[in-house]
Amino acid sequence: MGPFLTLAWPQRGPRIVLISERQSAERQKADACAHRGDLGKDGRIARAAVAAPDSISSHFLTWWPSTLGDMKEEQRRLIDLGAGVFTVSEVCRVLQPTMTPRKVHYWLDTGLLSAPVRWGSRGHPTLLSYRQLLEIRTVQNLRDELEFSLPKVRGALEWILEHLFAEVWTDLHFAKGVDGSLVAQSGDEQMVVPGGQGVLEGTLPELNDRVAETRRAWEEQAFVVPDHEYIVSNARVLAGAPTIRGTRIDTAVIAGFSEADTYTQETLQEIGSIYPWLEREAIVDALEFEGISPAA
Amino acid sequence: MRYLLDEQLDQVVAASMAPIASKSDDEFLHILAVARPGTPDDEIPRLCRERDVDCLATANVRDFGARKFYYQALLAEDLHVAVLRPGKVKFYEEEQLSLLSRSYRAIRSVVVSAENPQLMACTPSGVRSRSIDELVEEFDRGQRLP
Repeated sequence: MGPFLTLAWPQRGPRIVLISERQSAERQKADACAHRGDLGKDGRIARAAVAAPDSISSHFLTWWPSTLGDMKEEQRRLIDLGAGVFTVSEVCRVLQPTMTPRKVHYWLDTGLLSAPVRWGSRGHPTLLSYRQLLEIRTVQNLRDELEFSLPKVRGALEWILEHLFAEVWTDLHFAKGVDGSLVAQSGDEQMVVPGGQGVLEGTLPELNDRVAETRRAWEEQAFVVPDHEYIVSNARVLAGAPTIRGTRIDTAVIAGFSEADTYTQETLQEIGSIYPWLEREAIVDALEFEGISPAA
Repeated sequence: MRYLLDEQLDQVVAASMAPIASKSDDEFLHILAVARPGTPDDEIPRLCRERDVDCLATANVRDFGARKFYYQALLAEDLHVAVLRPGKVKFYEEEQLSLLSRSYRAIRSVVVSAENPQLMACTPSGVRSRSIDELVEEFDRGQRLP
């Protein structure tokens, strides 16, 4: 692996910093930054990081002009309608109560997750796609519920997250090979998962269930929020904000009718009069998702 | 000029705005009058084109957060977006109507005069609009809409 090059282009002018060889995770982050870039308000590169090959200057000169135009267009329209977009705190809100911004940033920074729509910086939130929301949910499930040890199965997990959303792996499931390896299967496709030896055979049924669940959520572009049967994150509705299933009403709007984190029967009646097509149970579920409890 | 009210807003608001809007030959439609509940975001531009809608009026009670990028995608589909932001009041139908009717002239003025689609943040203290280019610049500077 070669050295790394960081280009900084603040108001005062360009700055080039050569960084020595780093670990693989940092390289992935640098690659993602290079792909994304950051444009200053004058349209110039404000900050970027690229993996430097043989010659710093030749790479800089060939990379910069050709990438600049693409990035401008990309920034004009960061997402397509229906694709879903989330800040890290919004992801944590959907995957409450165990998800924290610290975990999300750690998994992003160490390259476990795919590169975000946009890396954050001061005053700019990191933006994640619906796919990344599902990646985080998958890691959360495997780690917290199936008690996977991330250091032991990290390689396998990276493989799973990379292939889980691919067209060719529509029916992805896993089995143990004769030598203890983890074998991924889908239709006629079969492949040994690198680093899969650490996955215990006893956890395979749950792993397959989780993978199938995530795949379904990917194909439907929506999933029901755990423990809240009426609340969904649908990438095609309000860009994935938690909404009441089958509507465009986000839970935050419903929460706005409560008082001091509690609700009464009167609150439910008032909300019901504004949205008469909503079931009472759905309103209660939305309020409780927002951390609002019934008044004593 | 036609405005489409999103599902978070009460249907009675569209009906109540009708007499005011008719003086300017404008019209307010509620999304549930033309589409099913839970209409996906990506169907809204087509819905608006088919009904000659110029502006989507929607609501957001929290920080814009990632929602700003969703609004940007609507602007890229050539649609003006007016976001009602009620502040700390409970967003009953009378509050929705109050905020929308108070913002209506300013929204109309922006829609009539703008060369490009605008994102309008409508608060009790007024209407502020941004074009797609200004939004991009805002993202780069990390500033927030009011």
